[in-house]
Amino acid sequence: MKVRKIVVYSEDRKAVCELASGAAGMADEVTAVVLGSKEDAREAAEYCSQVVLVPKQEGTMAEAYVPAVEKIIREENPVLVLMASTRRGKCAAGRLAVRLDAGVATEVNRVEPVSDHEAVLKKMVYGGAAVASLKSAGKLSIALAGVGSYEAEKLPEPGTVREAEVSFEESGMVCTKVQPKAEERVNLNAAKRIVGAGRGVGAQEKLGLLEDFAKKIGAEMACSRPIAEGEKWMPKNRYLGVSGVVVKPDVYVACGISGQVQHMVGVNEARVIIAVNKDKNAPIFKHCDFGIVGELNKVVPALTELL
Amino acid sequence: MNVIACYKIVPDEQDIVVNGDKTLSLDKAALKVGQYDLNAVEAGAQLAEASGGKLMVLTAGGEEAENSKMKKSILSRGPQENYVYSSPDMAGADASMTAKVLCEAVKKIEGWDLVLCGEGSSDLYSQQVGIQLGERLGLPTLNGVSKITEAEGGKLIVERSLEDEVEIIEVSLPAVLSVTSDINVTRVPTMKEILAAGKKPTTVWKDGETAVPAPSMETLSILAPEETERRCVVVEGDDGDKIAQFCQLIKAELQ
Repeated sequence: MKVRKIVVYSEDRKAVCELASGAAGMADEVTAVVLGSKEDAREAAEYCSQVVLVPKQEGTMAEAYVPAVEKIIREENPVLVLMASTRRGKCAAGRLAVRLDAGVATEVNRVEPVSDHEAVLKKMVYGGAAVASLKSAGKLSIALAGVGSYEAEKLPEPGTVREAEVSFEESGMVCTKVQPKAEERVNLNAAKRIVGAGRGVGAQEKLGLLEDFAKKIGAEMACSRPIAEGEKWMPKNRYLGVSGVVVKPDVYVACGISGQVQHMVGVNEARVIIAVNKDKNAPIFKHCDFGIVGELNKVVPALTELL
Repeated sequence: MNVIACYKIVPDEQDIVVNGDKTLSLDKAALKVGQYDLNAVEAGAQLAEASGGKLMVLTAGGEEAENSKMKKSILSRGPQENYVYSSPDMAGADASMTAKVLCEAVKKIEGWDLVLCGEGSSDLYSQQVGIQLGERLGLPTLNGVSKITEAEGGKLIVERSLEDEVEIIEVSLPAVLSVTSDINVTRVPTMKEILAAGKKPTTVWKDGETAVPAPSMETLSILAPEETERRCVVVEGDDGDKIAQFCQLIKAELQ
């Protein structure tokens, strides 16, 4: 089942290509809206049969182009607008929703077309305790899919590019500076193995034990929300869970993690979950493949040695 | 600077019970103020305190919005006034409904410069209300705000955290900003503040004063997720033998 038409929009050029490929499997017709340069539009056209370029002028914020994107969506008249669930995406989606009287679903895990003009959107709610199935009550819905939900696939022949008129609005906001984030970049989605640190680690110095172990088994380090946000022992881009990163590694080793649902939804799709925790009643032992009840200080260095 | 911070009363997700048919039972769940909203309230309190202004808080919801324990909870965290829109039809409202009702409510409140929202609600976490409210009011609006500083000439300098970068943005007031959950560490109210909270004014607008809009999304179902079957082989104890036994178990998975 496919819907009549999807418009794909993201200010990120890689995301546009991925979303366009994803949309091709869900709609008879796909139009990608690219905010950027002619070169960006040409690249997107390798993945999408119809591309509309909104030329972005130097020094302007992506937010200023919401009216331009709104106009294109009205012209294209799709059933669904598919966007990336990034901060910018969520900002643009909310403003478009008000302007177009559309319904919005963010952090969507799955888009299921159910007729040529309707799609069901699935997303996690209540901190991951449940999945909501939503359908737009009006004509148009906007779905924001997690980054990396779809793989970009090149078309046999590139699509067409149409250039929209330049139009942006005074927004009462001026971006004076853009600086890279202080924390280092990490792509946990690409990691085959992940070691997660939880509150049970007890002290920041103990993270070293976990890092040694991670190194031994070729794993990336990640953590639960309290470690990143409460204790700030690790950067925010390394926390797993419903409001953090959702991963699908081959092996996940949870160290001192109790196994709260908000965290577990972030690792639920791991092939194997291994748990080390001193509390034998921790919920993690009901959600793991292999677990050991013991002190991290003893177990983790021993495993580093033995494996 | 006078600030309105928006909040939502939500069921504590730790008390949610999954029924046999995978539906959720919220009846026994305790109420709490959305955890991300507390950051908006704290940010508002800090801005108001620094400038000698006033902090007001605003919520819209079903009958839970009038819960007296919740009123005390929110008013003990720095605000001077509380505004509540309550209607049975707002129970389970989606982001667009909440934004529409808050928009009407904000228009009734006088003398504010800035509206703050949290990153998202703790229950539905659509992260849409702040942005949609700002757009409805026709004001500058941003999400991901991780620092706010008052500047000259009716402006704010804000830091906005995106996935890979931080933007420094000048925002003209009035504005609507959604703050991140790491913008501040929220205060723990003292006993004195909790006692004083009971004496602070709350204005309640009831059903009928503002029409409740229709939802923009139809909720077909809310069900517990399918769980991946796990083997749950657990070794109890951390002496040498037990660790060696555990090591053997996991070795095969790490080949």
